[in-house]
Amino acid sequence: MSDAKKDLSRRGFLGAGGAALLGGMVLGALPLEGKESAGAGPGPLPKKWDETYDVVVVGTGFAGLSAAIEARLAGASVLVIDKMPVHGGNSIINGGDFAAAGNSFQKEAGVQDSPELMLKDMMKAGSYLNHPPLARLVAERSNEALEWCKTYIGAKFTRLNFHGGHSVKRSVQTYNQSGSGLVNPLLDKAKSLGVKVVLRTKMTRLIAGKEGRIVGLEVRTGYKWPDEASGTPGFIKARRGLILAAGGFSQNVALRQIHDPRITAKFESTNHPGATGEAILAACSAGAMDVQMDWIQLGPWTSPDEPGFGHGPQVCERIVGYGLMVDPANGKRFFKETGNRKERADAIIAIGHPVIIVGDSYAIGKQVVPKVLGKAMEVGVVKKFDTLEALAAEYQVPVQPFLEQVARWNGFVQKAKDDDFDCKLFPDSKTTATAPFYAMRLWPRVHHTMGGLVVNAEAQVIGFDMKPIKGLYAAGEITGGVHGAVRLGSVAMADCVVNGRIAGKNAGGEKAWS
Amino acid sequence: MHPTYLKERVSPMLSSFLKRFSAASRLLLFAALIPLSQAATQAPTMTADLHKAKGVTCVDCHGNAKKKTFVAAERCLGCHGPAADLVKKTANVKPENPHDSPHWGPQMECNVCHRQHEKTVNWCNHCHAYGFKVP
Repeated sequence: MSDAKKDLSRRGFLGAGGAALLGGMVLGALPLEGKESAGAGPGPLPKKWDETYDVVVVGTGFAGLSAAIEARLAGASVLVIDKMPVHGGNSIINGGDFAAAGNSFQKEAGVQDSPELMLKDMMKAGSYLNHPPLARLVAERSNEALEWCKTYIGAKFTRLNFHGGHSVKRSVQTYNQSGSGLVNPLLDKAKSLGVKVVLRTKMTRLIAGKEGRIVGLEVRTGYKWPDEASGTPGFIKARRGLILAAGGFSQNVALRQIHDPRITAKFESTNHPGATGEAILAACSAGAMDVQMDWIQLGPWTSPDEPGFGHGPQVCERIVGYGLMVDPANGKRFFKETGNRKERADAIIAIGHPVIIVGDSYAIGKQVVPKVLGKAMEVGVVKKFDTLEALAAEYQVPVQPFLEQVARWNGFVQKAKDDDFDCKLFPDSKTTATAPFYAMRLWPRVHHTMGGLVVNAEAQVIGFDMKPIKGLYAAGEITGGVHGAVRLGSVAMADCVVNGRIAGKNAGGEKAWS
Repeated sequence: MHPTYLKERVSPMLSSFLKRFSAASRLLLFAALIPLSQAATQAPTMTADLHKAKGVTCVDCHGNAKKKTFVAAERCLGCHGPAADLVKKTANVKPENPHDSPHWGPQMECNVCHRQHEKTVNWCNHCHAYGFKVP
């Protein structure tokens, strides 16, 4: 994989026009999901605009709503659209963990942290493919963004968690362990400020005016996902700016495979069903540059025993460093449980079949929210056993090797060092010894697309002439470069709020073109 | 099918087609169509039909609109609400209360799931495996 990454950018040698043409040809030739192409290049201005706003935002997740609020506070009239019949995209179904360097929960728990350390973690996980100014921006403003969510937006956060790949616990979780704990307060605040939010409205094409400046968009109102022929075409003028916050493309199998042919339909996704990336393609058709589209992340904490993201991840990710992960075929550990998402997912995929993670009653009791454990057990994802032997029997793990492995793991926990795989061990990690014992199966699912539209630190989208496209902004998963090769868990919420706010402030502060 | 397509293309086609046949053949054609109409009455009942059976007409939901319009939750809640009562009504549904998800709570548009003129949908099952029966 790393050799491929050293290749020149595929677009680099083509120049602006050639790249747009190639993009168009690729769209035409390949069987992309959805019957319609992602949108023709910017064509002539419409004869009539159906609606006019200062700022139009595409997407009702963390980034889109943060942007809408800041644009409104900058004095702009703001419309937010979403193609789906429900709001929130991936944000509203996520686990609610927000990485913030130097947050109040860390201070209370005596955890030492800094934006420099968070940046270091992001760059290391990202294989240094992160665009340094973008990664730095998120690390440095992460805590300010969290405080804004708490004090201005009124979202409640209650727990400090660890996520694989971070040096310390720095992820602060919403009171209900769901992104809805932030999305819904953001939506309420936006509406109270006079932001208009309309669902079932899909952007089909960006509209450019003089010198390629984005002046508005073509939409289908009354769009009934996933029927591409549904809805009525309309044109919306964006006098100051268009902000794209429409998420990634984890659910677009055809698009995934263009960038990484290994991610076939065999791999399911944790994402909401609309995460298909048409907005990215529409922006590229209007001259936006894309980057690192082949870095597509699979989450290593999902269970094959339930669909989607499910309840499993919030058990698995809480016990890494407190329990052990083994290959049921031989009862042995094979990788550090606290690794980042990519290295763990790759390790599991290399094994070729689901693995299991085991926690004893101390680990589970200490780390997992009781309601979450309850649900995970109710749906059969997490199972409980009186003995390790019974656990081994359930997953057909060879008993003796497994018990030896548990003893070996316990030895490492006792001396606070994992000689085999260098798993991070926490001050309160204990040996896996107290019944009952819990286990869940793990098999990776497509989770996040790190690549996307090229942006600068002002959330402006960059075109193939290497200059910002006037009137066009983007924030959140639709952008590329913040996370590089691998996104660390819980840094998405920080990315979305930090960059959504910047996009909103900037777009809202633009001078109207008409 | 688009309305004008029907009027401009299909009707003339149909009448010129029928003109080619004798009266006897036309009778045969007509007889052949009878099983189709029977099949129509055996088709699954749409929720709109359930409303109709209870005396709720098109106008009650769509007002005086000439074409199909989106009916927002406020309209449904006018009879089936308030939202809090709906949440209580399905509180014992297993494994989750469909009207009070941790994502949207009672804030979803009713017809995301309770489609009137097509088969109803269990939106939760895009990600979950809940065996809800959606009326």
